[in-house]
Amino acid sequence: MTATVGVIANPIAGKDIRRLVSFASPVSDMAKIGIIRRAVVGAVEGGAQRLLITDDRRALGMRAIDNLSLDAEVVFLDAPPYDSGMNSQNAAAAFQEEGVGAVIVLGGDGTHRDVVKGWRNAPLMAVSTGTNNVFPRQVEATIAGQAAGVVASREPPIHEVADQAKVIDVELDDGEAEQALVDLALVDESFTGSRAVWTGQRLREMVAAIAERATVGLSCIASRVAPTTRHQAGGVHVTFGDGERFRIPIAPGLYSEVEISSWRRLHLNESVEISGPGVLSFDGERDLVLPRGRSALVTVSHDGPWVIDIEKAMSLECGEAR
Amino acid sequence: MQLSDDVLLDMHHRMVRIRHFEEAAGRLAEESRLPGFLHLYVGEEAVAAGVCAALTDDDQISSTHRGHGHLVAKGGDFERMMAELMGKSTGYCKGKGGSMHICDLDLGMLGANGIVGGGVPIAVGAGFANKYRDDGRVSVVFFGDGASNIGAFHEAANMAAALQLPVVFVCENNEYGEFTPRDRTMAITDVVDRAAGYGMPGVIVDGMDVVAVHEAAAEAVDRARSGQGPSFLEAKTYRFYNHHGIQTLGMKYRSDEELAEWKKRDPIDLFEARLAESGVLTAKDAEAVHERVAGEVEQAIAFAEESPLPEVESLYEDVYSGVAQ
Repeated sequence: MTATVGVIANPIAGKDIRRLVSFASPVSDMAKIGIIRRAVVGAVEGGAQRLLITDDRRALGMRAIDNLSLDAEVVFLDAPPYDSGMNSQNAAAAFQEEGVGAVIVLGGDGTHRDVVKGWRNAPLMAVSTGTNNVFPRQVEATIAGQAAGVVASREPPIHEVADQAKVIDVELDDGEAEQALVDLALVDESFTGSRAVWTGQRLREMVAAIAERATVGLSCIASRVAPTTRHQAGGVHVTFGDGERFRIPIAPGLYSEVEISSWRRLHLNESVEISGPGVLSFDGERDLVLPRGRSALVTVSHDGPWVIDIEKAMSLECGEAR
Repeated sequence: MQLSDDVLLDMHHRMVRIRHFEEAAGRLAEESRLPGFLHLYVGEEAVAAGVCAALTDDDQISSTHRGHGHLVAKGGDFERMMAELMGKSTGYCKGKGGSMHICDLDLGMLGANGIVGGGVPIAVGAGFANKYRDDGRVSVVFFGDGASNIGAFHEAANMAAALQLPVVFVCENNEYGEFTPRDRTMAITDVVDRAAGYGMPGVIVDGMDVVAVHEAAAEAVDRARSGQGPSFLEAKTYRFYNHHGIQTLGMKYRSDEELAEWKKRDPIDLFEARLAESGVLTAKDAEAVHERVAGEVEQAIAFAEESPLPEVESLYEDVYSGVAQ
């Protein structure tokens, strides 16, 4: 089978309101183009023979490969005329059908969530270009791309080179299903608006699958009471109200006070019901209005995407340490 | 940001006023009852309404050739607007400005502008004056993606940032400069990428979502008013009519499919659905708002049509201000 690597780059990652309300840095198109360029060069170096790249209104992918002489076939996927998370979701679904061996995702937590909505068990090379990134790590795109190329071309058993991630499944009472990768929160708001959550004062309830202390954002809140790594089974359920107070970095350079009234650890596949009114925030982005009387069943499972470990993948290329 | 029902209903009212005024103006132009060019703001209502709802009456805005929506959102009077569009003496500029030079200094509307990018240094100049006077006012400049390629924009943006002026730059990126797609005239897609080059924070907002626009605008206005300098908002939006708003004029330069995709995200429809869902405004009450506003527009048309044209003797009046004899 032709060794195929998919590339999904979110053009709007790193440009939201947190550049105004916190000290988050902007991520320009030129920065993203550079990252894509380095990733695809690395992927071909790692053995990719075919690259599937999401197109977008910014033509980031096309501009990234401009003037590159790549020893690989390059195919672009169409995109809608406006920015939408559906773009990443549809691309991921198409990649699955095309038998892509590894997907390089350039974005933040929200972008990775969209990808997983399209292909739940995708083999992901998660590269951070967003704002509060917990799921993707800060890695150099060149070597991330090469690791993806190695995985796609050598086709090792995925569990040998990747760790399966947790997923927060959200089942709405109207039958709709949603997912988050890091945290799911109920926020005291009526609109999704500018999407970001940048104050702890309006939080009502949250479930975190990843609650690591070295993070910024909602995930960090849960880490103060029940640290839970991405590799650990289960999650944490937190309710806010009168109780213990913490100051947490809710966005880059921005601290906010939160008051936790109760918390408990969630076993794997244990469900908790969250009821409206409010807005559900998925991985730090307000995305769904939950009116009064409506509820959602929230479950942390461990059957999500496979996150490629660069060290393990590159050991196939370079050999084990001597 | 939790918005009160009053703010939500106010933004809805501003959007509906823009829509009805513009639809009527376009219809009148097609019927040759309205002279000169006009450029309709239909489709972009959430931007003007979301931003202007974050301003005080004393704050200022400068506008573009597509400027009716900005003036309506700032509280413009339908009768004086319609009369101005018809070139009548009862209009905002006594019938001598027309669509592209409409203004109301009492409302802080410093003027629409027939020159692409022309409004940017005007708002920055107002910002300089406001800072000099320390009067707490904020000036907002609305401009399009095409205007961000004009030299005046770059000079003004640099000045605003260098002097930390209380200005908010609002780029209405509707993907086309007149008839030319953005990617034919710019090597970048997000105009906001230019903000960092001048040393000011910039964000992208969904220009079809009035709450998203308002949240970002309120933060930017707060920054400006509290002495933290200028900010840059890029609203991704789309005009539902062609460049002129007159369907029989100009060339076809967009696909029907693209237009249909954007129309699915009509900012008024989206907002009304959400207002109904949250119990703030029922569909019936929304309809009543539309009917009331439509009646006000009809009244304005009648007022304008009955108004006299300017006298020939007034040709040189109001051309220059305060010139010493």
